[in-house]
Amino acid sequence: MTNVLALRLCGWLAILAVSTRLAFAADASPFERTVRPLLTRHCVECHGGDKPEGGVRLDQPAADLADAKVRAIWEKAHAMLVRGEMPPAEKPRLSTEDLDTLTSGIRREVERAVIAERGGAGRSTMRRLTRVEYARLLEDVLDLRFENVPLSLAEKLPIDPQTDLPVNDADRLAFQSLHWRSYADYAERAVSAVLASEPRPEPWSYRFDAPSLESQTKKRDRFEGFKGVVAANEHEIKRPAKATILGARDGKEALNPDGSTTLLPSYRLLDNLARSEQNDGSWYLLLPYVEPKGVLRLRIRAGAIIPEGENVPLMRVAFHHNVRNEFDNRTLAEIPITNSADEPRDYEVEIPMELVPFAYTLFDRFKFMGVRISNDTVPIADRAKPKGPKGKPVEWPYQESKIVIASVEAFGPGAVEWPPRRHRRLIAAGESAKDDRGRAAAIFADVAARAWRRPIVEGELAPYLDLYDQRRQAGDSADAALKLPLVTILSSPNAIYLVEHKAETVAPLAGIELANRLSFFLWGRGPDDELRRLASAGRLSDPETLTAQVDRLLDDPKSGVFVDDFVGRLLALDRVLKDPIEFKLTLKTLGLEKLAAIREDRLKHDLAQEPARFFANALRKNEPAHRLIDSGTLFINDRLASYYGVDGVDGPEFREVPAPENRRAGWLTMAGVMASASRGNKEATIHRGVYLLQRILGEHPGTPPGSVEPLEVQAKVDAKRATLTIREQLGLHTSINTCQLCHRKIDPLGFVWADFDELGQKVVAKKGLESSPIDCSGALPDGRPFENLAGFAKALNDETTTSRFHFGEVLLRQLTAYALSRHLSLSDDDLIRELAQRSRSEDWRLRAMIRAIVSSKAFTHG
Amino acid sequence: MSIKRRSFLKAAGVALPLPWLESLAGAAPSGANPGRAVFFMVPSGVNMWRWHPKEFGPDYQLSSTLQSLAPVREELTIFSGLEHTNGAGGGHTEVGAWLTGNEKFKDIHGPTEPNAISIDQHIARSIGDRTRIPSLVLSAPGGSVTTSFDAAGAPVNAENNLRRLFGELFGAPDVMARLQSRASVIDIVGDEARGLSRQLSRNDRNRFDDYLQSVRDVEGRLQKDREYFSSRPLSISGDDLPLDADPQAQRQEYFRTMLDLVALALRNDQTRIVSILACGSAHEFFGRWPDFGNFTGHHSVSHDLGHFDTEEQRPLQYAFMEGVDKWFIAHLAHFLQTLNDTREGDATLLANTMVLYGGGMSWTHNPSNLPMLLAGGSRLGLKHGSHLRFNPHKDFKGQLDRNVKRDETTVCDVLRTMSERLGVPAEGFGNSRRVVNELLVG
Repeated sequence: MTNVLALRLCGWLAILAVSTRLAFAADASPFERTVRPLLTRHCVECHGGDKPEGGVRLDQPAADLADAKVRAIWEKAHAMLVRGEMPPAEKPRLSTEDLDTLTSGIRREVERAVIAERGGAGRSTMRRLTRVEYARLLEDVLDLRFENVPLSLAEKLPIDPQTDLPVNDADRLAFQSLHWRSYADYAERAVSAVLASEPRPEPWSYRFDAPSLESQTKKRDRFEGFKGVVAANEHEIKRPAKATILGARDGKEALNPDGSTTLLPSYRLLDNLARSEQNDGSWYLLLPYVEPKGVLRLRIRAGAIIPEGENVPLMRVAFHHNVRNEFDNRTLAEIPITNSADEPRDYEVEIPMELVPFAYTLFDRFKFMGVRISNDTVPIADRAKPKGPKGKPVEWPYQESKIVIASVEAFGPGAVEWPPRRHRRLIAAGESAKDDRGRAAAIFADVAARAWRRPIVEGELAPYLDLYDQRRQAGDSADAALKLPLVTILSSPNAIYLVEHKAETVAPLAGIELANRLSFFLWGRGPDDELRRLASAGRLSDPETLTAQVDRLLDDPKSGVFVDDFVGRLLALDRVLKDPIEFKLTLKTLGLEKLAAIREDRLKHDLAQEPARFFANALRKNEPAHRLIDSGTLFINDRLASYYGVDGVDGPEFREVPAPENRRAGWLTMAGVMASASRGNKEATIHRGVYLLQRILGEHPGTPPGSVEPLEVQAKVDAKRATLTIREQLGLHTSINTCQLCHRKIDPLGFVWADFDELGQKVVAKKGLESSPIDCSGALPDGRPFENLAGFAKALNDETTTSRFHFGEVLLRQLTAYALSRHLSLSDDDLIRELAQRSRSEDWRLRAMIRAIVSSKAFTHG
Repeated sequence: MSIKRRSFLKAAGVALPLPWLESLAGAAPSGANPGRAVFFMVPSGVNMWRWHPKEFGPDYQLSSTLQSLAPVREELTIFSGLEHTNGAGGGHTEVGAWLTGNEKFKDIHGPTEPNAISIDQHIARSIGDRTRIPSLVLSAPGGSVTTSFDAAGAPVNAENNLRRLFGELFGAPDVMARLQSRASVIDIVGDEARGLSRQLSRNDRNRFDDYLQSVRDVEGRLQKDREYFSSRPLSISGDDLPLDADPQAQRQEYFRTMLDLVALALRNDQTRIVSILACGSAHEFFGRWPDFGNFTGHHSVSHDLGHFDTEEQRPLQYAFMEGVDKWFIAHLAHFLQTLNDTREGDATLLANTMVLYGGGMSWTHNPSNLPMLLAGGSRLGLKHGSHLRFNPHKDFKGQLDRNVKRDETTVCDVLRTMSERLGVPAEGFGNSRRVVNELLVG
């Protein structure tokens, strides 16, 4: 095996030998002092002289790593060394220290070359917007936010090549072949959704309520409800709509004396949770089919009945095609109904049809569009099964949150207003123009300034006006001809890139470029009017103005973008949603898989949210960084409270509450964080060690050799291993030097969560073992030991030792990399030292750290 | 174009006769003739008394239902005893399982849960980029009613509008206009990007190059599409074809035209992977077929035929089923004949095209002994002319055939065999355990 690998290495190095003159800096650089002797001792015997092994010479002075191809070869050689594939087995092995020196020496040289390519230490590459940022840009420019209907538009764009650390790394955000097409298609769809260039659709609207429908009792006497045809509010429109309201099995509950109807949670009614073709316990409306363009509106007058101790009910609105076996179903809105049924209020639902993916062909052939409204509440806590004598059915013993619906109104895309609001807003800039062409010019200037996030240069938009003229000549109306130029503005590189004009040497960024950096850092979107005004007045170069803006941006709710993205990626919280982790929340009472799945989804969502909400709270209060891993409070909602066993928290909103005894290490005692670190594994010591090393200590854990089996597999093969404790098994790592290189740092960390399971719950000691506590002790990579989680957090916050593992500094590094959109390198050490000094003097307060980063030269200069 | 198409079409009814096809087709694709695969599903079961031939092996006689396939008998293989692993696709879930073999896909209400990827999409993911259209997904109902599911298990939006299909294939005016407008967007964006690139620092310029390259790639693709459409030997107008045929009311014209367009798309190498679905399962999409009997729907008749009723017991129902079976088989026969009559190099289009036809239920709602056949692909290494039998199954007499060993050949084994004939590995696809060597030459 070694020979094969050796041959492969020889293959790479052969290219190296032919194509390069080794050109490491010849003077007494650290490389010459530390790496060269090791190369000479371990490599040159084969890879030296006139006939080197595989045509590779390592005894010549230095390689030109600025050449990306040569660099790639050295990076592979580095990987082979780390994996223990070189030197070959028959040769003397490198000691761990020497291996460390050699590999880090190579890595340093590679890094140096990368920086040189970037135009100097501390500089960043211009980057494009991530797909999420681009989607947000379109949402902002075209006002694509719809009442109560969330759209995950970014998912239509190709996934960005990025690491899962919180860095929008400019060097990775490449464009691939045909990539641009998805951006242009996407922009076109978004513009078409807003620009109303076609004739007004039939302006129908309908009002539905129970008393106006016929009361129905089904044959089998199971369902009671109402059914009927409803005429349009507009007398001239002859197309009727239809409605069906079906009550519960004991339908009596459905109709109230005031004409409203009460909906029980659908899990009570159906085992398929209202996602089936059945309709009991819901409103099912059939609206006349219209071409899926524009916004369909619903106005639902509703309130809730929330019994003591129950949670706020969730109203689900879905497109629902209910023709046998052409069935299709898509959730559009999930709205918590907070107001009491005694005081019903209107809930608006805006459905932008072309942006909601649905098989409209089905509606088209059916000539109706189906909308279903149901109560999607799922109980938080498990409930004991109601038992009757000898298995006889008993009265349902629990009270649930119910939704009372008084009436529903539906408005077609042509109703209410024409042209639609978003259309008018998009073209508003052209209102005062004298002629069509001037109007178009004004609109383009307005949209381009917002999409390109900078002032427009005179004459820059001439090609867009030419295109407009062409479209007019081709017969487009004044509005329709706007479409193509607008699509072009939105798919222009000016929209897709964070354009920065840099000089050959480091120089201050232009005001507007700095404003863009700042607002993309903290808002994930372009600057607002105030920032742009300050930028064009040249005032952002004033440090006080700049830091005042940092505070303003952080105070704005839009900073939630930064909080969610930074914390979510730092702690890899998407794993909670995507990894196959089972929280086993099955409701024993009901035994419904799908119900359990919904509960589980909602809990996972909350678990993934919690660390970010907690961070946002700390940021708002400007708390010191160490509060994030050492805190007397939690920031939770009702579902999390139930999961953590905390009483007295009602409702889905997050709020600060005192933390119970075993949840006082902030992020480190959050179940979502532990679940993400454990990746669904029961025995997760190594996973957790890697997670902590990388994300809490900020150190890259290294690349594992390819040939190593997971521990549980090794234990299966080797019966002797299976008898060892996990500590003993991990101890084997330190006896193999290629393993030890990384595992001496990883393994001792992983034990810190030994008393929590993979779902973040405290491990309950087995019977008889209560007296012997679980061993959570371990050590930091710098050798400092800890006894348990509290000790671990304390060691990370220890100001007395200057360690790179000080949590404030780790967080500072992560924030800096995020702000600068690049990974930090050794050459950034000076920057970090300076920032750390400033942060320390302000007690590592979160805002102080962010202010320091933004006012640093690395951020303000390009 | 020398043929007066309009009058010709009138004379020939709605069928598109072959000379027309030949003249519409562009130059045959150069080089090696590419392999293709078509998957054509007709759900809701068949008259099992008359579908499968009674003899096995190469000397079988075509059953009465399959009679119209006689001209291409040597180009096809009929299967008996084929089924999915663990009875996937029983009852009303046959459509979701037919090309996925996903036994867990049990949602009779439609695609509300993720399925597994279907074989056509699996193939298209590998080789779809070799043609202008990676794969055609068609169904008469359209939308989410399809046998095709993407890698995430979501139904691929199926096309059911012949006019749109025609536009995609031959560049209808609206398609051409779209290309034109996209070209003007690219012109501006490209100029802007080149101008911007000149103002950037060296390193940023390197990074920015991939944007420019992406724009150029899209430009190139666009140019190819435009050339493709404008080099058609004639500007076909949709007026000459029954492109507005309603899939329900004018089902004869509809299916004939759809299959002819598919044949053209294959002939011109616009796509190599096609899936066609007649209707959903348990789906009375077509309503009445007065020609075959006075019943309200195909599926409900299939329901009525419980427990291996004999034809004597239910003569009208079985006659009705047989009528519908023959109707679709006639369409298939015409389609295969069209492919077989089209020369491609020294072989025929059919020799380079595998066509899997059939359904996902047999006796009433039973998912065993599925009525399925595989035609074409002799140039892809397939051997035909035989009636193969696999797992123990209820035979044409409704009795368990105990002569066959339980070697558990599944539909997915056939799907995998087809995929691998196109050079796309599919080991283990939908629990496939083997390649169906009985189908292979040598």
